[in-house]
Amino acid sequence: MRRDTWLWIAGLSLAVIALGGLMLDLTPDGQTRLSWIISMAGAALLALAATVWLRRRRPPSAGATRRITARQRILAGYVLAALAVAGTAIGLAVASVGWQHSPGFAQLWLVPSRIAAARGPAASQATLGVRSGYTDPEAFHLVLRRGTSTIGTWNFTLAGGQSWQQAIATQAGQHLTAQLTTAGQPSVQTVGITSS
Amino acid sequence: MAAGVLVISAAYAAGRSGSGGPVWSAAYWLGETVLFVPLVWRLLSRLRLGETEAVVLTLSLAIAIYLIKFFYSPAAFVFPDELEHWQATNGLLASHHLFGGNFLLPVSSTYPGLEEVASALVSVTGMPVFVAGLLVAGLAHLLFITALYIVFREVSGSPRVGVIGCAIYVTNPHYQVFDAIYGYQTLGLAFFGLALVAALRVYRLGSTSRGVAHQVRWWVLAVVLIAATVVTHHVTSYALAAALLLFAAVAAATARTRGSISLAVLAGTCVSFIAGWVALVAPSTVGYLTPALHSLKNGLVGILTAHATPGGTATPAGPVADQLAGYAATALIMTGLPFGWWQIWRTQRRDAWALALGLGAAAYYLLALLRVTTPDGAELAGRGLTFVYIPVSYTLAVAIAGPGMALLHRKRRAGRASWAIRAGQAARISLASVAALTLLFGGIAYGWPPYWERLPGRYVVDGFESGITPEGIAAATWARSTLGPGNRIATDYTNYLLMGSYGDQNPVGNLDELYCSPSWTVGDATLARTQAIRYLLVDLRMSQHRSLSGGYFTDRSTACPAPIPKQYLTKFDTVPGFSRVYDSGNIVIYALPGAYHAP
Repeated sequence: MRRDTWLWIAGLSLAVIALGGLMLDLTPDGQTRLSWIISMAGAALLALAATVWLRRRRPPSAGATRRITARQRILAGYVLAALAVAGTAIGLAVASVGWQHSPGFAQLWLVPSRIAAARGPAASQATLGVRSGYTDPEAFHLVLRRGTSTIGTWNFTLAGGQSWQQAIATQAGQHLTAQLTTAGQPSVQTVGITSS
Repeated sequence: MAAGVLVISAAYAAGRSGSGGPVWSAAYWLGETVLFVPLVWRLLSRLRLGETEAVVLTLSLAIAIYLIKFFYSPAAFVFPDELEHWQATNGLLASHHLFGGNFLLPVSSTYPGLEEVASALVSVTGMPVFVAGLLVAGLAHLLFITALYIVFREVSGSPRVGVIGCAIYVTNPHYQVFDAIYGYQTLGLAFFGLALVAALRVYRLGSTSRGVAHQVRWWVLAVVLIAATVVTHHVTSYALAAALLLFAAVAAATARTRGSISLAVLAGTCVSFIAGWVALVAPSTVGYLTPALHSLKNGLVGILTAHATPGGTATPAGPVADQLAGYAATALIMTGLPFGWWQIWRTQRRDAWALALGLGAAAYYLLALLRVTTPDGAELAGRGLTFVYIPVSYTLAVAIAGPGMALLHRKRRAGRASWAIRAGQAARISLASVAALTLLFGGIAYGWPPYWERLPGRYVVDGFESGITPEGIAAATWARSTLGPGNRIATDYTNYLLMGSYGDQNPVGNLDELYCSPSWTVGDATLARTQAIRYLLVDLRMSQHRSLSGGYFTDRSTACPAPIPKQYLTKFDTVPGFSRVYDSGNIVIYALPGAYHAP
């Protein structure tokens, strides 16, 4: 095997996928798991056949036994040490993803139900929602007003990534406003819509 | 090298944990030094360098540098181009068909090579797109540098030139990050490099007596790799065509008729594939590249007529130390190239490939001028250096491996004490190592990421990678699930990227007029209507911080006050018909009149 054989195997594999994908795109199903598996298997068989053909006249090489020298053992030690250091570096990088400081936040939304396609027939409904982007559980206080009158208040606690959602009945021309307060936070988040 | 990688990983980790100050910035540079200098020392201090050692050093260097890119964002794609291709790959996986459109980078959907390879891997193995992307980009990165090594090695006949050439190439401003990201150029470069190797073998077929099968093999490989380059990345395929034409022309001039015909056939194949692809599949490429070509043309005309527009860059130039490193690296290369040319002329003037590489290196002077004389010259020169650095690296490597090594290891006076000889050599090698470090540091200073986000973790409003926060990602994810895909949404730069990728929206990032005035005017309403804007996103952090990247929107040349006064951004609360449908503290989304009813 030539030294650069691996290079051609890898490079040609990528090239065959890039070009073969164009052919798959012409099929009705396009690029699916099945079509990729079948085409890759076919390409591998073709490559195997080509290899056999190219090597048909080449005499089999005699297997040579090689002794591992002391220098090679030392080199192997260096390689292992380098791999250990690189592995530590990779571990540190992956672990440090969790160290990234990010201020928490809460998402508040109020949208007419018809915004999201096929969310029900209710032209007179809105969706009020909250999602916590804090790492720890946080207590929230939510107030919903129709014009100036309060029509609902909710107190709830959400863990990080957890959502709260409520369907709200609306009438045409009414203005709805929701205000969210997070415990211990001075700011108030506000959303508002006018039903049509 | 591994120790350098560890130091850089520690510096990045410190950046992410919020403690990345000057000390950790210095640690980053120390890491780069520890990674690079031992390699340089090894190459310059040994008079004998075997093939195996050269290959191992080249591959180790490429792997170490790819690890640095991986450490920058080990959990998700954050580079703008990566987000664009990540979204395109998700689109392909969902639709199973190509050319489905990409809101962020429309032209990329007509060059689907990268997405095809990654989506095939995802389809067959079930691994996440991020992991598949890392594997594909990493493999491509490795293949490209290996291909370069083979070209340098075979053209020069010397493993030392091969590995020195690769070591110089990695100092190219975009090698460490931009050419290693999950982007179509990364894979295109791998095909480009392999196509060059195949073309070199085709060229040399004439001088061997190998059989038909051998000849067919290299022709088939060359044509397949040229085709793969064409369907993967536009500019890389043009560079490949230009390189093949140059090699063919020089071969013809040096009377290698058979070789030059082979190369001309390959160049013609490449040009015809490009023409066919652009005409039939990717006509949008013309419109995409036209502004850059205009800029390039104007810059070149300016240089040739000595009426250059005083330069500058699209993004700020950076600290003085960065600029000095960049200029020093440029000066070193400009000084070194004539020595390489002299050496090529002296020892390889009959080798068409060596001559062509020497000729190609001359383009470096043009790019250096372009950088300082054209408004967006830094961007153009940076992109061009990815290709021009190949002949530059070869030419400099020839100079270093020839007269350079002789100079480093000369023994002046007979009878001089051996310790004095060794000390003199060590001093000269140290000096050469400093020069090599200057090249590396200059490349990093001119390269990516820019200075304000060299360590990850610090938030910079509308900075490229540094503008991406969990809050922005959450807003985009909410838009996808609640508003549905494909809405036209006006936004700033960072949220443009996030809305177009995580949000699957059709964002518009250059409507700065809507944000940069104290009141909502009839003109604003008309603009929003003509742009079919249904939602408008406001990131209130634009009122708290200046943008280090030169602007808040995709068109960074706009004259928006910095920071933008808060009342400019909160004016939308009082615009009749606007509904404030989303608020996450810093990010607010408004629905414009008719947003709910639009199809």
